Amino acid sequence: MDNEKVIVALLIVVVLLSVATVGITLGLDLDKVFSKQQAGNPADYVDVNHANVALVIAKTPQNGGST
Amino acid sequence: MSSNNSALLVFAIVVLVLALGNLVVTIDKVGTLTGRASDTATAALELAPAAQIDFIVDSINWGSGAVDEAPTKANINSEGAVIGGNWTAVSQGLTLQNNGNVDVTLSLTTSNVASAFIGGSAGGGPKYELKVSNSEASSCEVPLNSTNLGTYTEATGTAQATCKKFDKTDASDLLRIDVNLTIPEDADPGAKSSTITATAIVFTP
Repeated sequence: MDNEKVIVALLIVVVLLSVATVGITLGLDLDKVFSKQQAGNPADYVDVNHANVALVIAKTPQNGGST
Repeated sequence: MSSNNSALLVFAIVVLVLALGNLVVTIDKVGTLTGRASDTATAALELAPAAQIDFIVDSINWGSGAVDEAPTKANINSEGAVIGGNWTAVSQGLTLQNNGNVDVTLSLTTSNVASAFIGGSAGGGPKYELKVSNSEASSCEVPLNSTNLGTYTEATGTAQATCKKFDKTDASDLLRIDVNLTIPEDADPGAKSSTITATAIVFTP
């Protein structure tokens, strides 16, 4: 009877260890999934660039200047 | 069979199943992590989408000029026109290139509107217009509508959608942006400038 209790206790430990091992191993996949979700910096989804347009309006009698 | 023996049997089966599952998963992982000899190999990588646009030509400058005495306004643009004034003709529009690895949706924003950029009111007031066209064929794969490309549109100072799908392909990734200005004769003299901001967002169908 006592031996059977010891065996049951050992089996419970083995079960817990196996569950933990499987969980840790599958955790590698979860890391991969997570890293895929993070692939690509959101900042890379938008880009901005600038250009310039310029001129000079010379003074004339029409715009308040002198000839 | 006693109840304890039955419990042992159930536990033993559970342990066996878990152990087998663990074995399969572990072997699978070890197989991918070790340098196991093989006559085939696979190289894999993931290219993250990156929007990148650059102005190849980023400046238009007509220099100094004035509205002629007779008309009430002048019209100049980046397609070589100088009508009713004596500014230096410019025949080169701004050129925007999609240098990223994805198609993008493009919008343009000017830093000011005609009244603030040029000023004056004679001859119907100032105009500040932009026109987008393909510098390389089909660069704008999906325009906003049938008349969007090749038509001057008044700048509003806010983000204006320009092209739904700006192609990334090297042979068709150039857009030309022309600028058309109407300058009233009573516009205040001085240096005038405006910044055009192009914003590209990764295209989503």
